[in-house]
Amino acid sequence: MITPKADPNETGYIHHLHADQFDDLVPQALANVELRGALAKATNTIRNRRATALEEVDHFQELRSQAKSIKTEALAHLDDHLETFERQATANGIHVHWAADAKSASAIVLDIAIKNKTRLAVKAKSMVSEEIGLNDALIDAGIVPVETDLGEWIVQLAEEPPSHILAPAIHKRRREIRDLLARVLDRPMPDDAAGLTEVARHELRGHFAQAELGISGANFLVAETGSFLLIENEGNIRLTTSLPRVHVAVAGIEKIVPRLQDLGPLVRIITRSATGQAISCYQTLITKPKTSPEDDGPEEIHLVLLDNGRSKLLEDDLTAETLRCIRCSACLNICPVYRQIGGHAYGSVYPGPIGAIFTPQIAGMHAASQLPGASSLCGACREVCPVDIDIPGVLLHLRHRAAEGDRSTGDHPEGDPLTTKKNRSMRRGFRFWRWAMGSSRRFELFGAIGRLLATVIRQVPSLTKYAGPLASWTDGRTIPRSPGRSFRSGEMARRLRPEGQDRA
Amino acid sequence: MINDDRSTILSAIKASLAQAASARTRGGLHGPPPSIAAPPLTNELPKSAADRRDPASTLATAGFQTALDRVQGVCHRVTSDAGAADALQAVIADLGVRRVVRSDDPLVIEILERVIGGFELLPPNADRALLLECGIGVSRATIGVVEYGTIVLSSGDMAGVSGAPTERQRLVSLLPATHVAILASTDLVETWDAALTSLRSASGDLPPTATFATGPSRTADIELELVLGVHGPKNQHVILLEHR
Repeated sequence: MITPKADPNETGYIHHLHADQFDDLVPQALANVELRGALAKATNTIRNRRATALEEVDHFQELRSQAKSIKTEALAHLDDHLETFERQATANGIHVHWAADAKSASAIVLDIAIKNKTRLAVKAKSMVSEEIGLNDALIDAGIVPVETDLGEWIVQLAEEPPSHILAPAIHKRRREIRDLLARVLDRPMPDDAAGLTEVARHELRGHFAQAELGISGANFLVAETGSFLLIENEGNIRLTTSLPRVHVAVAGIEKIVPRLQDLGPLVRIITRSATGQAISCYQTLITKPKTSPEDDGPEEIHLVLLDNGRSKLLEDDLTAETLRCIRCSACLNICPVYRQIGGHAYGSVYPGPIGAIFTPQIAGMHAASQLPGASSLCGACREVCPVDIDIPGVLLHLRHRAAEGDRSTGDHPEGDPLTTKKNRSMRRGFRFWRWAMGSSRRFELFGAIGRLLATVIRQVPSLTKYAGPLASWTDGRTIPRSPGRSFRSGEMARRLRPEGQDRA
Repeated sequence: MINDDRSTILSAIKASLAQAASARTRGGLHGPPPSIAAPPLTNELPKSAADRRDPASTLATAGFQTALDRVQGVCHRVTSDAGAADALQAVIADLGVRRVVRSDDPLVIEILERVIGGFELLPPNADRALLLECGIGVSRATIGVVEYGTIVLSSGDMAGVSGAPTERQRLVSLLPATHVAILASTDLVETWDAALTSLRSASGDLPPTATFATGPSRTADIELELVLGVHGPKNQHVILLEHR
């Protein structure tokens, strides 16, 4: 299922999106105790590594503001930079393609694959290829796509989507992975991580040697030189971009940076934020296909520039911040919500805080109106963001849009009956609240009623289950103990009051 | 169809940017406008005190070794070509490999000629199936980065600072389980950024591909446990020629 051809006023498309089922997915995730254990351990580890790595940088805030201003500047003149990139890359011998939407991007890659008689395509991990559903499109055309990043390969074999931007199999325990590989490869598997990694190395070597096509994403596109940079640890991107005769890279239009020298600060900050390494194992700067027939490397390089709803985000300075993201996933590891529910519960290939703002803006509020609510607005995501994206601000903006609809796009969540019902009762609730808090007499009256109710409900435990509209509220919380009298009438409040103002 | 998408995207971007600009002048929804015009970039990057060292000094070679150590790479500092050959011979003997593949670089060939046999030496354009089986690959690093222990491997006829006109090294440095890089101490630079800048030729051209490699390949995809050697080399050796 693919959306029809995008016109500029329409939203984009995210493959396998079921973020509208967020309310059902979350309890499932929370009930999975093993998942929560694995996530807590994993995210804690990465967080600590990140914190240690950043302590080593003398001027972290300076570096961060540099990274931020590079991306901000790139976005402010995105059209110019894209045209410069196209001109330079074309001069270097790279074929540049433009894809307004997911369907068109898949069609371009498929066309290249078919022209080169591809039967097997090796893939380096790429979020954008997940976004456009490239694997399914290839399979439908009879081409076998093989993921080569270890974690991504594991989730592909398990027929699951990735649950983390950087560590796709973060939700899987080692034993689970061993059993999975034993089943798929039909032979006994070693128990340790090193042994399992060795198995992957061997299995995938064969694929690398045979593949006619290599598919990757891109971390940064350099307008000035028409080059692009790929960042990795495993070496699978180097293999994907070196062995097959043809290499296709798919990149969102927001990946552009104006100058070659802009790469330094971004490379310096991205791995530290992502895995806590001072630098990743490999950064590969690709500028042109091989220049002489005897050389190594692909004969043909294609680069697909994907919009898929991104240009729309530039309409507003706040939403445009979303496009600064360099996909480091620091916000996932720090987020108290992600740490409890994991990536799959978001129902989107982009999970966590960044996914909660990116997904609804790309796929439309109607498809993911609950995601902006998946946050306590604690602000930790912004604090760790290497490019200082105001994630809480965008979340609030999107919550507003989910409730009120967006007049500029005509994207009204009222089309969704669930949201409409929720909105109506919520609005009624807040109208009542405003009235009840509007005078001191009403405030005291409802305070007294509240204290009375709390006392009654606590004494009759069965009542908590039948507390009407509040029943779901008590699922995760205990009813507060009534203090017996209001704070204002208490001894402490009296002492705080300036002398002589004691109420009669 | 492709051209169609091009104009669709570019005009969508222009329209969106114009709308944001007009919202900004109206003092839009989200308070004062952020400074969109970024501050001019200077070449001054956040640097550590080590940056002010003279790159060719002993401090630089020692610094490179320390940094490579941290990422589980091995640095052999030698003071003569004969010493380099000895170090290479020791690596080959230690691993007990029978096939070694080399790149085209003259210095690499020269050093390998001094290594006493016992193994089969393959040229970089050897059959791919043979390359995949090969135990050790030896190639030239065009630049070394002191701050991270990084080596730069560049391909094609623009092989950078002092490389051969066409060094075929991409597969040599990638497929074998062990990669040995030959690095001259005069090719050391302090920072990653400096290495990137020095990749450009006088006319501003870049090599077709340049890989910045720091230590052996690694993964932590299974329960975040660090494993060295995934798809790339499992061992990374650098023979640092202090006399060159």
